[in-house]
Amino acid sequence: MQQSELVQRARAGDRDAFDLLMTSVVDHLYRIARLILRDTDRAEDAVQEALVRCWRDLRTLRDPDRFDAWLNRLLLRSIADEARRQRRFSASVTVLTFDPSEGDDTAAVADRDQLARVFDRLSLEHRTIVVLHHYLGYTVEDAAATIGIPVGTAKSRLHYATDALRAALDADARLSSTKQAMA
Amino acid sequence: MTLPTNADLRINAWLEEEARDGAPPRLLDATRARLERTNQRRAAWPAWRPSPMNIRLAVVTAVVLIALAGGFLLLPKQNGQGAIASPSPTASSTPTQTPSLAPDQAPLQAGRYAFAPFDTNAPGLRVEFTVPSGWSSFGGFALISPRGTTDPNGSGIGFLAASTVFSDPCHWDTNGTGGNPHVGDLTIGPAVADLANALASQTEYTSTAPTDTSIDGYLGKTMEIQSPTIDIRATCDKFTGQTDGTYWLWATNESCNCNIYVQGPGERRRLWILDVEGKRIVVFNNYFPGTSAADRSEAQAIIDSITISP
Repeated sequence: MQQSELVQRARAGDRDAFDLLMTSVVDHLYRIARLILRDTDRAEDAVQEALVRCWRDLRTLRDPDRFDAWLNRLLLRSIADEARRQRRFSASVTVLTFDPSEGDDTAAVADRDQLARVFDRLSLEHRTIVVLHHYLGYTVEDAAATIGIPVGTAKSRLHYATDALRAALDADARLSSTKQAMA
Repeated sequence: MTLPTNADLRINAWLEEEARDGAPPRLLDATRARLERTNQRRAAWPAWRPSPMNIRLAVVTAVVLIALAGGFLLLPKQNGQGAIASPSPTASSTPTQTPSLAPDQAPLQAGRYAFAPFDTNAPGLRVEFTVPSGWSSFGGFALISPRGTTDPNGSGIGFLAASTVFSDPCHWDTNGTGGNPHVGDLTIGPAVADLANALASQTEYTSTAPTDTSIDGYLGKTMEIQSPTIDIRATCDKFTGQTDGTYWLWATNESCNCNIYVQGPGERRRLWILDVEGKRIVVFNNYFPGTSAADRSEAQAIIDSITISP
C-alpha cells in the first residue's frame, strides 16, 4: 500500500493504517532524533511524542503528499521540547566528560571522535541544521522552511556549524601528521 | 551547482555511520500504548464562511463596544444538576458516576460531560459541564452550538490556554510557515492579570476592562473582546493552502494546538481567565449580534454548570 493511501486512511481514523505508517517511519525518525539529541533515551521520548502528535493532529494535514515534511516538522518540535526538558535537568546534574580519542591510533577513529566531540558541542539549533542538510539532504531553503526560520538564519547556522566541523577535521589531520612525523 | 568538498563528504559519512541503528522495539510498543488512549483532533474551527453580511459589514467603520454588565458575567455558580455529584472516582453506574470525556467530535446527547484539554499548562486538569441537546463536542476542548460557531448567529465554548499574545492578530505568521501559530510577539507573565491586561491593552480590537470573577470557586478575571466588524480576512495571514486568512488573539503552547481563531467579523468573545491552583486557564464563549437569546442562554447555562478538578 502506498504511503499516501495509508495517510488518507489514518486521517479518517483508521488506527491499523496509522500503525503501518508509524512502523514504516519510526527508524527514520529515531535516527534523526538520536543524531540531534545525542541521547538514545531522549530520542525515544521525542519520537514517541512526535508520533502521538502525528496521530492526534493528522486531520490538519491538508496534502497527504506532504506527510514526510510535516512529520519531520513535528519531530523537530518534539526534539526541541525534549531538549528544553533536558536543559532543565542538566542544570542540576554533574556532567561527566571523557576523551574517547585517548588510546585511538587509527586516523579513521580519531576522525570520527573529533567530529563527534565538535558536533556534541554545537547547539541544538546548529545540530539540527547540519542533520537536515548533510544527513537528509535538504537544501538550505527547505531546511529553513522545515524549521520555520528565515533562509538567511539557516545559512548562517549551517555556515557556522559546518565550519566548526571542517575545522575539527583539519585539526585532526594536523594531529595525525604530527603523530606520523613523531613515529 | 556546488560540488561537496572532501570535508563535506566526510561529515556526511560520519552522520550516516552515527545513524546506523534503528529504533528499539520498545519504542513502538510504548507509542502504541499511548495511542490507544489518544483521539484525533482538528487544529482549528471552521474558517469564516462567505456571508452577504460581510459585505454590508465592510462599510461599517465604527467598532461598537458592547460592555456587558458585570452581573451578567457573574451569575452564581449552579451545581443544580439534580443527581450529578461533584467528580469522585467511583465504579457506580448511578447518576453520581464521574462523567466520561466527551467524544472528540460528535453531536452530544443532553447530559454531563468532561474535557481534560491541557497537556502542557495544566496536565490532568479536568473540566466538567452539562450540555443541552443539539450541541457538539470539538477536538477535546470545545463545544459548538446547534447553529455552529461562525457569523452571523453562531456560538461556541472552549477551554483554552494562552501563552503569548499577538499585537497584530491579522499578521501572526511571522515565520511565513503557514502553520499553527505557537508564539505571539508579546510575551506575558504567568498570572491571570498578565494575560487580562495584555489583551485589554491591545488596540487592534476593543475590550472591556477586566473585572473580578470566579467559576467553581476559582478566582480570576472576566472581560469581553470585540473583534473588528469589518471583514479583513483577505488581508490576514493564511494557513498553507487556505484561501481565507485567520485572525488570532493569542497563541498557545499546548502541543494539541487547541486554540480558536476569531470566527467572523464582529465576533464577541467572553473570557473567564482563571487561576486554578496556580495554573492559568481560559474559559471562552463567542457569539455574534445575530446569536439568539435562547442560544446565549444555553451557553451561559453550560458555563454556570462548569466544575473544575485541578
